[in-house]
Amino acid sequence: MSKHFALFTLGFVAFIGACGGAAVPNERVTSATAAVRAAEVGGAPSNPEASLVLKRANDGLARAKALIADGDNEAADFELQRAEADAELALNLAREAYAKAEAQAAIDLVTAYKKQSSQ
Amino acid sequence: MALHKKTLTSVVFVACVGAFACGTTPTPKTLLEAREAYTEAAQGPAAKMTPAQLDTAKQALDSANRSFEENGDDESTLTLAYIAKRKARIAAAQGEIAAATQRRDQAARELQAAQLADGDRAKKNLEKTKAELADQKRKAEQDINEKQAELKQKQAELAQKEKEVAKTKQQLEDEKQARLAAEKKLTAAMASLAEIAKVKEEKRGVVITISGEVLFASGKYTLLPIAQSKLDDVAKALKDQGYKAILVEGHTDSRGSAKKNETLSFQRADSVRAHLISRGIDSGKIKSIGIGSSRPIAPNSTAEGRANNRRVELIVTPE
Repeated sequence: MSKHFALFTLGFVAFIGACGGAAVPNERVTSATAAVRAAEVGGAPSNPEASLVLKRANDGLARAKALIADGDNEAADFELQRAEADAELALNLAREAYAKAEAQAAIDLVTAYKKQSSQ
Repeated sequence: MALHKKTLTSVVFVACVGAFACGTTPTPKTLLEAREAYTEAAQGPAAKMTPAQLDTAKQALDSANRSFEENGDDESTLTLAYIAKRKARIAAAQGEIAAATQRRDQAARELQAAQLADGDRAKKNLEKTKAELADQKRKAEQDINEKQAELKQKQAELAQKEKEVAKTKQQLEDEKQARLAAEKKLTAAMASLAEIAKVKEEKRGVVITISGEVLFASGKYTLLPIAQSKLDDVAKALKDQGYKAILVEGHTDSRGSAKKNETLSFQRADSVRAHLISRGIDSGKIKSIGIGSSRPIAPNSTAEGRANNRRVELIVTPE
């Protein structure tokens, strides 16, 4: 009995090892998805550069999900890390563009005001 | 700046160590790009504006470098390098965001300062305008007061003029009434005179002709009592009517010598003059002359004609 159990256990471990051994990166999926969502609501789709990076994040997320479905969790984890980084960058690029536009608008406003005031 | 230099040195150092450690393994392109991205971020506003984010990027790059050092260019290293590249770009973006926010805030402060300055100017202008308006109002009120005083004076003058006009009208009316009364009196006087004398208007003046028969006895120059009474009426009428000058002419008929007639005619005219003076006629305005028979008004061939020629004429120059 103990011999059979030992053989079964060895076989199970070997099976797990053959399947890659990495757990499904659910937390990574959640955080990457949240990052993509934040970028989407943060204005990335309306900025050309940010939207490209956002697309890359979405593509990565999709690839990761496909890899998970294929059981390649380790590769999926790498994809998810990249996708999350892409999403964060997309959000920051959108914010950068918005901040620059806002600053330029404020500068234009004060310039116009001063010009008008001096007339 | 110190952090920036230190970080760059660290990056270069780690890169060199990685290169030696990996021996012949070439540094993956992604890691090179990550290093370049970090260098670029460290040279931008992130170093000053968002050092914490830049430090996060540095840590990510350090992890990638270590992984390359330890594991070569495996998937883990490539992923860490990719993340480091993104983190560097994110740090740069956040630096730019902070710088842009600073520019925006600076612009807002400038705008506020300009608006405040304008507000102050506007306030001063408003106060100046208020003062000017108050001054204009004061002047306008003063002007109104002056105009009102002037109007009052004009009204008083007008009232005075109206009073004067009324007075003048009254005077004119009085004069008119007086003139009418005088004319009436004259008419009455003329009518009275007409009873004792003929009155007619000629170029030389109003001529009152009194028959010599009424005034004197034949060949005499003393006034008859009845004549004195009649001449009293004439004097009264002359005084009532008013006169500038009176000439008393004595006339005779053609009987007797001319010299005698002339003397008699003068004496008779002078008697009339003297009587009129005694009844209030101004002696300075009355003269007497004797014409004799030289200016008959009727033929001397008949008794009636001679009676008409014997006469005294008063030529009155009216006022």
